[in-house]
Parts: sequence; C-alpha cells; structure tokens
Amino acid sequence: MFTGLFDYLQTTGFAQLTWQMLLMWAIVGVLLWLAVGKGFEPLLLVPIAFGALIANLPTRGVITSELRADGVYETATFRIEGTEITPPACAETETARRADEAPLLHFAVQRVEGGLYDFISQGVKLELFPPLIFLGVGALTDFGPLIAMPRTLMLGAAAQAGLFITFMGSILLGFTSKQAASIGIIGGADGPTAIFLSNKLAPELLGAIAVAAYSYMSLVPLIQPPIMRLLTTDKERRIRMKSLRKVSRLEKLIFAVMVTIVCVLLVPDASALVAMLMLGNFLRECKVADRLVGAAQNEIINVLTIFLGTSVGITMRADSFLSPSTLKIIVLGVLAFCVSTASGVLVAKLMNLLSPKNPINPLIGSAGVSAVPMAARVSHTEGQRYDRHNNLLMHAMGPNVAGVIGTAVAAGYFIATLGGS
Amino acid sequence: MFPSLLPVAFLPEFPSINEVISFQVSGLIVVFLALGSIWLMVDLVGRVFIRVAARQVRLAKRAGSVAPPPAAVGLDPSAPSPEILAAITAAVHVTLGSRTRVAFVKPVRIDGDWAREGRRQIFASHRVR
Repeated sequence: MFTGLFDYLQTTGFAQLTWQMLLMWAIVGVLLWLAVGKGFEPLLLVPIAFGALIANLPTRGVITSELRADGVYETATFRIEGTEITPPACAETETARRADEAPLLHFAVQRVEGGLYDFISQGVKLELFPPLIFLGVGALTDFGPLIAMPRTLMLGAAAQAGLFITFMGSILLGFTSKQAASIGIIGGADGPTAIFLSNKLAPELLGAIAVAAYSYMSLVPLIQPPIMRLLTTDKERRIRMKSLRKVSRLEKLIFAVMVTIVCVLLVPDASALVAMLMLGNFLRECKVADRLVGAAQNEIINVLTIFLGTSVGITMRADSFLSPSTLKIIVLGVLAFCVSTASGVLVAKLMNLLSPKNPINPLIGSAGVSAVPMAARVSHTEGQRYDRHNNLLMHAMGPNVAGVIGTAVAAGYFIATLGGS
Repeated sequence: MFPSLLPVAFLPEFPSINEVISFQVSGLIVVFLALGSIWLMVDLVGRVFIRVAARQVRLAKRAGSVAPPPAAVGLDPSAPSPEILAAITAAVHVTLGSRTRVAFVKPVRIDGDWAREGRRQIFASHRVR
C-alpha cells in the first residue's frame, strides 16, 4: 500500500519542486504586491507575475520548454506530426526547381501537439502582439499637442540617448551587442517595443527585460523628479509656455501618413511598429471608423495585453531568470531611464539657449521617455509644485508621444544593424 | 524586403569601444534625422494650415463688414419659438427704440442663478480673518 502511495506521490507536482521555484514564487509575490498593493502598472505586471508563477510550477499542458545545446531555454515549442507525401501536382514544380536548391518536403499533418502557451506565445515569438498593441496605442493617442508644437520632437529624440549610453554599459558588462541593444531599449520606456526588439535580438533575456521595463515604467514618478530638479533652476521650472494652437482633423491625418512614410523609408525594420501605430491613429482621427477605433482602443488592446503579459511572464523560468545577468539588467535598466530623463531635460535647456524668445519649460524634456502618459503627468505635477497655475500637461504630451516614435525608430536601427531581421 | 535609405554601421558580437562609439553616434543621428524630418514636414504643413485659417478669418471679417450675418433663428432646437422671438423683438423695439437690433436670444437657466446667488450671500456673510 505504501509503495503505491509513494509511487503516486512521485507523479504529483510536489516531487518536481525545487528551491529555485520557491524563490521565483517570492519574486512573483513582490511583483503582485507592486501591481495590486501599490498600483504600479497593474495592467501588465499582474499578467506578467501570474505568467511567471505558472512558469515556475510543474505544469502539464501549459508550456513546453527545453534546454538547448547553447545553454538557452527554448520555450513555447510545439510538435507537428505527419507523413511525408509527394502530391502529383508538385511534380512539375520539383523538376523546374534549380538543382542547388533544397527539395521541398510535403507533409500531411496528422497531429499538432503542444500546451496552451505553446500556441499563445507564438504571438510574441512571431512578433504579432507588439505591433497589434501599437494599433491600440495609436487609436488611443492624440498627436495634436505634438503637431501644434513639432519642435518637441527633438525632446523625444534626445531621450533616446539613454538607449545608446546603456548599450555601451551593457557591452562593458560583458553582454553581446544584440543583448546590449535589447537591454538599452528599456530606456525608451516602451514595453511593446522592448519586447519586440528583445524577442528578435536576445529572446533568452526577454523575461528579465520585460520585467525591468514595466517595473521602471511604473516607477517613473519616483525615478524622474530628482533628476529633473537636479538639472533645472527654480526660474526654469516656472517657465510658462504659450498656449497650443488648435490642430485640424486634416492636419492630424496628414501627420499619420507622413510619419508612416518617413519612418518606413528611413528604418524599414521599424515598419511593423510604426505602420500599426499610425494606422490606429488614422482610424481615430478620420472619425468615420468609430467601430474599428472602439475595437482597437478596447477589445484588441485588452485581449492582447493579457496574452502578451502572460506570454512574457511564462518565459521567467527559475533556470533562466535566476542568473547574474538578470541583476545586471535591473541595474542597467535604471541607468537607461536616468540617462533618458536627463538628456531630455538638457536638450530642452539647449533649445532655450537657441530660441530664447519662445522658451520651453525644461521639465517637459523628461517626458521624452515614452511612458505615456505617466511621464507627461510627472512633468505637469513637478511644474505645479513651483507654480500652481502652470499647466504643462498638454505641452508635455508632445515629447511624450514623440518618444514613442523615437523608440520605434531606435529599435528599427538596432534590428537593421545587428542582423535581427 | 526593401533596403534602408541610410548607410548603417554593422556591429560584431563583441565590438571594440571605438566601434561601439561610432555605432552609438550613428544611431543617434538616425533617430534625430527621422524625428527632425518629421519636425520639418509637420512645421511646413502647419504653416500652410495656419495661413489658410488666417485667410478664412480675414475673409469672414470682410464679409461681416459688408452684410450683417443672417440670424440663426430656427437652427438651434433649444432656441425660443418664432412667436416668442417676435414678442421679445417687439418689447425691445418699444423700450429701446427702432435703432436697436436683436443679435441673439438664448434661454437663461434661472434655477442656476438662484443657487449662485445663495452661495454669494453665504460667502458674503462671513468675514475672512
């Protein structure tokens, strides 16, 4: 009887528990506390944390993961079983095929075997979720403040300096150039772009990078203000900016088309992100596709956020997450955020030197990191600490949405140069 | 797959410091070039729109000085009926004279005014020390 009971216990999950899994449960607890208790980016941290919990339980039928020869855990792989066939219709094609080309194999699929997240995670692996989330982001974003004050695009560009400085830091800490680019993108404060890039260049770091990006995005109100105060004078923080002009619908439509064309021509590797962002925005601004806008703003983005978050969380297996590189990524992520914030503020000050008649409040420079709209809100709140009647929110939205475009362009540059495509 | 318009610096897996610096600089140039071009184009388009809007305002002003704008009677569903308008116009004509012109008539929410008056009296009854 005892032998039978013991044999049964061997089949349960208890037999497969390890201390690393228990440690990951503690990390999951911290993430859930940050999301639920503190309200830090709960829409993403909750699915990520729950995905991490699932990844660190001895589940069956959820996800397949195996250790590759190069020491990297390959997750979300499914098996297709079939029999090889040679259809008669293909015979001509085969003879027309050049001799140096590999022959095509034709299979009749009989069985597809995999867990739930082996299939759902294909949305991340095939880079479907981030661009589709960008469709929703575009449908939610008003580019009016940016169009009314286009020079704030430079603040969005300046904030990308954090990416490149962190790239150098990551190389110095021993990461490869592809991994360094994926870590640097954390400074862009744009979750979907960070996931898109790291999945392409360094999928082995995807979990740690996503967690660092979303954690720091939620900590923007704590990270940015000290840097903003350090780099600005009391007088600069009180600068009142001119009211923004009203932007017409046609102007917004032209903007969406123009950004798509310019960005795709300059960095074709960012096409998927930029095109979907601007498609969502065009749908919003054309005012004749309300049903589609409603779907992009609500159902599409909400469903994909759940799937993206859990798919990322499920890559956080103890075997790959509990490593010195994760700690380095956490440290480098802070560096990226700080440098991005500082460079945005400094370029705003530089622009004031060049154009003293129409000054910019340098506090809106920090909004160039694209944590929309939290970074803009931080600029506004910080400005109101020094002048209660100074409303910077709409002015800060300009660099904030410019940062989204800037981060997508930087991601495209990394992919183009580091051979991810 | 279309090639990029920009010549870019390709990087090995473990680059030297010089390679990294040149990579960083060219990356920042790409970002500034992309966003700078958008700035330039948005600015140009914006100028056209501002000019068109200013022209429309000028034309509207000029048209306004030649002929008075037509009365918006009947356009607004919440506007008073023509009979009430006629009564108001007659009352204005009798009390203020024939040279007066009624530009617009809008209903006034009396209940809001009473509440405002009540708040004014409450605030006026206390002296702030």
